[in-house]
Amino acid sequence: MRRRIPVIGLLIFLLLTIPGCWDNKDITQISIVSAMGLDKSENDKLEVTFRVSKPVQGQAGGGKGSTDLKSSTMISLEADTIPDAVTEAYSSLSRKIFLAQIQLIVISEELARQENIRDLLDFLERNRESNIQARVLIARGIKPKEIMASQSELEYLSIYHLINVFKQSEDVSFMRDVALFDIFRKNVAEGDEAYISIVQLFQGREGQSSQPDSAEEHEKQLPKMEDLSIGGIAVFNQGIMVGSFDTVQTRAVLLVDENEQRGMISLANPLAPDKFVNVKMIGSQSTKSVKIVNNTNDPSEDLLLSVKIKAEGIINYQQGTGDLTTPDMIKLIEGQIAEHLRYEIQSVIAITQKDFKTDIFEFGRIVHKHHLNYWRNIEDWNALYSELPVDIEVQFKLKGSGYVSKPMELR
Amino acid sequence: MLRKLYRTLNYLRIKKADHYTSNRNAGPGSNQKPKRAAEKISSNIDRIKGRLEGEFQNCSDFALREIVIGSRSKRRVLLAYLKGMVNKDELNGHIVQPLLQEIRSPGYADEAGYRSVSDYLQEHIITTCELEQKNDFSEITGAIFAGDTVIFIEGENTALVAGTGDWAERSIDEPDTETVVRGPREGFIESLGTNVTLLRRKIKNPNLKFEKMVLGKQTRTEICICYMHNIADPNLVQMVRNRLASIDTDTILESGYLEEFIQDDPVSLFPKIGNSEKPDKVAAKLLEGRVAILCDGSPFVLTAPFLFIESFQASEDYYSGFYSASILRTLRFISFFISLALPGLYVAFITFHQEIIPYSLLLSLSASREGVPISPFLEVASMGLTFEILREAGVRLPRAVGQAVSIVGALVLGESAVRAGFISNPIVIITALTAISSFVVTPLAGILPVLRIFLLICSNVLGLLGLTLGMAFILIHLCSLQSFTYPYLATFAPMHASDLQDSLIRVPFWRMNKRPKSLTQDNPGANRTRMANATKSKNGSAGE
Repeated sequence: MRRRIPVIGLLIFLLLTIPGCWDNKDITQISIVSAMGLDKSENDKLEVTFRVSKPVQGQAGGGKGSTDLKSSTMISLEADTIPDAVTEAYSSLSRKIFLAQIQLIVISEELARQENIRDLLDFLERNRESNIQARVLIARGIKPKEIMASQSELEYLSIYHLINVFKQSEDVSFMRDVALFDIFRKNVAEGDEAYISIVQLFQGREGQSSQPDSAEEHEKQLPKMEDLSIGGIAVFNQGIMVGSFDTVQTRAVLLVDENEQRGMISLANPLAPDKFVNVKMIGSQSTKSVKIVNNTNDPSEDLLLSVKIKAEGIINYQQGTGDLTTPDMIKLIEGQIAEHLRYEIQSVIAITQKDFKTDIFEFGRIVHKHHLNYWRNIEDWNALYSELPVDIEVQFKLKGSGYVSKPMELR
Repeated sequence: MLRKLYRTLNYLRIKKADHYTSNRNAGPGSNQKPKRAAEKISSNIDRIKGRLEGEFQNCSDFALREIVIGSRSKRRVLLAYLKGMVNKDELNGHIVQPLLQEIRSPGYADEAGYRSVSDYLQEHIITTCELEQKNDFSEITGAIFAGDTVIFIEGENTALVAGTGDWAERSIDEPDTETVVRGPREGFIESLGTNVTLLRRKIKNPNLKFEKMVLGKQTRTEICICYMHNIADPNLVQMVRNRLASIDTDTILESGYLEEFIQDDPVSLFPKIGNSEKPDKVAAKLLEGRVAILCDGSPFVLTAPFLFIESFQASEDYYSGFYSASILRTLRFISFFISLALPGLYVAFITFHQEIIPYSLLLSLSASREGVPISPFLEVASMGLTFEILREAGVRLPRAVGQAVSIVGALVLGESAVRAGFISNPIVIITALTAISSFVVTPLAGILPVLRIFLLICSNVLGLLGLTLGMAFILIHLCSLQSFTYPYLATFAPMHASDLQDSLIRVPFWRMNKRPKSLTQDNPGANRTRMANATKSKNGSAGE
């Protein structure tokens, strides 16, 4: 026994060291992919662009925040699928592609309108080495490749620029922070469609069209992250993009779909019609339900989609004089805002029903959960959804005047 | 194969159980070695003189002094002592002078009707406070070595042993190993007698027992077993006695010798016997029911049993407030974990699990790794080795050179190695943090490098999985350990809920009514109550 222990120890040691098939890989042997762009190539193939971080000593060289191209490099590959592109990258990159740190995935609108997003991203769902927290964006009017190459003036790590913009979404309800995980979670069943925020060039700024003369020129002409703006959402039906909402419509969508939305609402000052009053929404609560109104066993007759929203806000800004804090005025403003929001929501739901024919609000899930007997009889939920009546109720409560203290001259 | 293994394990189990029951059942006195037959002291002074001179041949520090007392009977008296070990003033003033003056006075022992001269001398003449009669010559040598003066009287078979021992000692000062901000600053010294006094001054109670024994055939080192008679488990005390008595060696120079001889599972890495230089700490352990072993010549007093949790307890925890004590306790556990696992974690993260490092951190880590020629494992291992070398050099070097070493170590090695690109920046941080943390838990500081290297290898082979396996291995080993039959990981495994009040946190004293259960185990007769009104406070009235 005593003689065997060293022998066994030696065997274990040899087993672990000699075959060398272990997962021990140094971080200097991997190319850390920070972002990935998916686009349709000219040859009608998939164009996959990897933004690969280059390890450079941080802050060492002056550190004036001049994030240059040198901190990352870009590789664009044409392939049929993402795994093909990854395999292809072996031939040109000196280090193994490492996808587990992907922070951002940008899909061009063109591609999203043609290909099923689930099929596109399936590789990332299966791959052990993938980051399901990666943010997903749809690029409109700009190629994902250009976004991959763009740099931020503000952020030390450029890739964090767009992600941090995303993170502000809870303060302004005109985009939604969608991660890979959300897409995997949605789309699992009918009646549960995804929507993804859209990134586009800032209005008024043009994407470059002319060919750059020199490398330096090229560097200058690349879009900066500051030129990009995120706003609005792309709506998907069965994984294929069917349309989009602008920022105002997005707020209505988010009001219905999620709680605790914030944002600004401007309306005419009731005391001075040509002036504005701005109300800051500070919270919202949405209750979605599907009610049975008839008893005919026909889903299209019986079901009523119902949305109840309770929101609250404070007066943020007031033009013109007059006291808006009287009970009458408060009631008036509350009613106006509630009506305003109700109208926005109604129009948005109408668009999803009539134009997109896609249920992005998870009503299908509610029917499935609470009215299974109906759900079993439904053949095409999205088709049915587009015909169902909707009952929308909005309550808005003005919580305060927004004053820190009453102004000298009461307005 | 399996059957054989099972049989071997079974055998070991039975053997172990057998060992402990035999230890526990041994009655008092059974530990005594077969005594040598008492040797009579000769009544002939010349014979004694010849014998002693023979025994102490070439011992220049040995002295014999012959005095004649009594004007009529002219009895010869022989004083034997070691020169450096007796207090000369005491010898002169309390023994030699009274004996010599006795010549002039008329009354004599024989005439006064005393049973013997030695009785007379003891009761009337010799003025030292420590004085006893001995009949066994074999005890004489030991007494002389202890610094006593032995007085032989012609014509009598009794010798008087006067405690005149006094020699140069280090003064009592603050121990270097366990410094405190608040709390007593005195520490044990190399003299057993002084150490016993220091303990006695802490616990003024006859229940505090000191049992002396002599170990080491050549060194004849005095050992003292110390315990609270009314608190310590008698089985434990007996076991300590038995184990000490069965030590068969010729050298005991420090308590560390004893520790290695008597600790359980002697090949295990973890310390199973505690040591301390501070009387207050040892006193506290005695009062919890532990046994202390004092060894002449060593300021380090052993305490047994030693549990894992004790490594994290400092005497200051009990002197400062319980909030800060609890925070510091937790901090010690964290530091222990850092010191144990940080290098392994770093290697596991950086070579196996890049996906769990935050993106920006990964970038800066990978940037600092860029261009470094050796693997992270070798980086960590070599820097760890460098630190151990520096530390060892720092301990051994003369104090005057210390500064040079620290400058070379900290600046030249750390800074330049990074600048030269031999190692990456994070390694310096990892090594420094690991090294500093390892000193927080002093009793385990010695074994931490071994465990650290073990976990480092585990992580380099299998990543976090390997690290977890390594940790599990250590934990299982800890669970299997015992210290004097007390489970090493007690309080946690086996879990004693009542003892948790002095583990990761320390509750206030008025909540600690009972002595630790880990030390009394399930003994129903154990004296566990710390406070007189502990039972009362259970009924609602708060303890005072």
